Amino acid sequence: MRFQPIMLSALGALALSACTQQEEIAAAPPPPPPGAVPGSIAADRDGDGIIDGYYTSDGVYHPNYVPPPPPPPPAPTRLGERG
Amino acid sequence: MALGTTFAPPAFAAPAAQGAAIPLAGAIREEAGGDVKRFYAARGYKPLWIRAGKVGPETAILLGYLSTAARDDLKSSAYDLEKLEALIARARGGDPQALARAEVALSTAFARYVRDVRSPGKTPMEYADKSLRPKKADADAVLRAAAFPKDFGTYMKNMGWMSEHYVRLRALMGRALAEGVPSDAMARLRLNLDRTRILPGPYVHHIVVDASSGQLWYYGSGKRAGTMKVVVGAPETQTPMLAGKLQWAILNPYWNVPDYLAQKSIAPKVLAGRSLASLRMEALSDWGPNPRKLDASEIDWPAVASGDQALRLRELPGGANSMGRVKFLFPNDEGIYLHDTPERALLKKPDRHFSNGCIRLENAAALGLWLLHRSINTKSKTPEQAVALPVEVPVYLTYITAVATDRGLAFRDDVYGRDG
Repeated sequence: MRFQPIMLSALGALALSACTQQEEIAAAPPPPPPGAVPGSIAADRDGDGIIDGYYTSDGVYHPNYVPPPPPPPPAPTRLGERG
Repeated sequence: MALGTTFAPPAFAAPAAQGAAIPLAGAIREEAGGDVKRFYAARGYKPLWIRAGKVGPETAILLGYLSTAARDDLKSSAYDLEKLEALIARARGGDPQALARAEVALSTAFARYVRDVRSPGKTPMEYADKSLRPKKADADAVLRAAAFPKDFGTYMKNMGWMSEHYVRLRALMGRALAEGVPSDAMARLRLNLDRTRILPGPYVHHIVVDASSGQLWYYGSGKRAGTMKVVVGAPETQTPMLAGKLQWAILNPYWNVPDYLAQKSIAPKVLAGRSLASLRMEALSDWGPNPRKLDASEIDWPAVASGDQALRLRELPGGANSMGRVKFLFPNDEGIYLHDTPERALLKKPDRHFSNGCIRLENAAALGLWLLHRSINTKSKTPEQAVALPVEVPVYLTYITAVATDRGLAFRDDVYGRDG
């Protein structure tokens, strides 16, 4: 009889984790910590002497901190694009 | 900056606590103060200039820069070279305290020199992104940046804290000083040198466009990643001295025609018999987000040509579009973009001052790959596909007329009249 509450709590946890999983799908996955990707090398993109991410072997930069996307492109103005 | 094939310990990690390192670290701890102490504290008081109990070869490189500071338009006397050399001489005995004194004095002199060399003076530059405005670098930041690259010797030898354009002009200044060029030429060279002081070194990911030579370079991880020809502004529609941060690539773009070009360039063509369709353009009702497409009968072209009526025009996407396959946006009030171009013949000309101020790229695909980490090709024909850059990239539009020739200092034609 002792396993009943354990099973119930396990079921509850399963249900909760299912809800949690649904929420996590919407969120961007955090970047892997430095050194987590084999063959990667440390990056100091802004030259301030502080590691801010890493390059994978294909040369792609992976920031430790993923910045929010920039503000949307500004709407055209009368100034247009000088070309 | 690469540290190796795998992650090495950070440059500021505590040194191995063995051998002579402990007394030297302790002596540096005693000797250093202020900003310099912060730098050493963060790396466990590990020396930068002293290696294996000896003064490293980078010291001679620094002394070389300090003794030729006139090439930076600075005074060598400001750096107390004699005192520095005496401290270095005393350190050769290997005494930890003498080594620490030399170590800290070298770092202090180096940080001061870098700060002075990078001092922007009165160089006219518009900063569309205020974060790019030059700041007075503290010693901690200067030393930390110098200690990060794997090869400190190469960093020192290449003057890694400065743009390669500055390094080139500094050498030219040395030659000009030795040859005693006329004072007006020296003044012009100093103007050029000052324009390059504010450009970042190659360890900062960034782009430089020189509107004098019509050339673009891009940098990162301590080296030049690429270069290409560009078409820049004509003398009457100059490419400004401007710095901003590239944020977006717009694939399959429209060309939104400035209203003054609608008046001065397009309206006369239409009045001479061309149709908007033949120009691959469309007219829109307003500059709001949801404009209505105007019928040809709704446009008063004489009024547009005379300037009495402003008209919004845009060129349709496609291979012949003035923006080509892609335009790169950095927010600015000047209407300046970097973009692809269908007018390839202009890129083959030695003088490439033809645009309305924008930068037309010889190889937009290569720059796009570097900026986006993906191809700029798109199967979709949807106009104006906005792709955010994974990381914003600073771009500096400058103007460098000074060049080195076999006969010494020379200048390109000052097409914009900025050299005084």
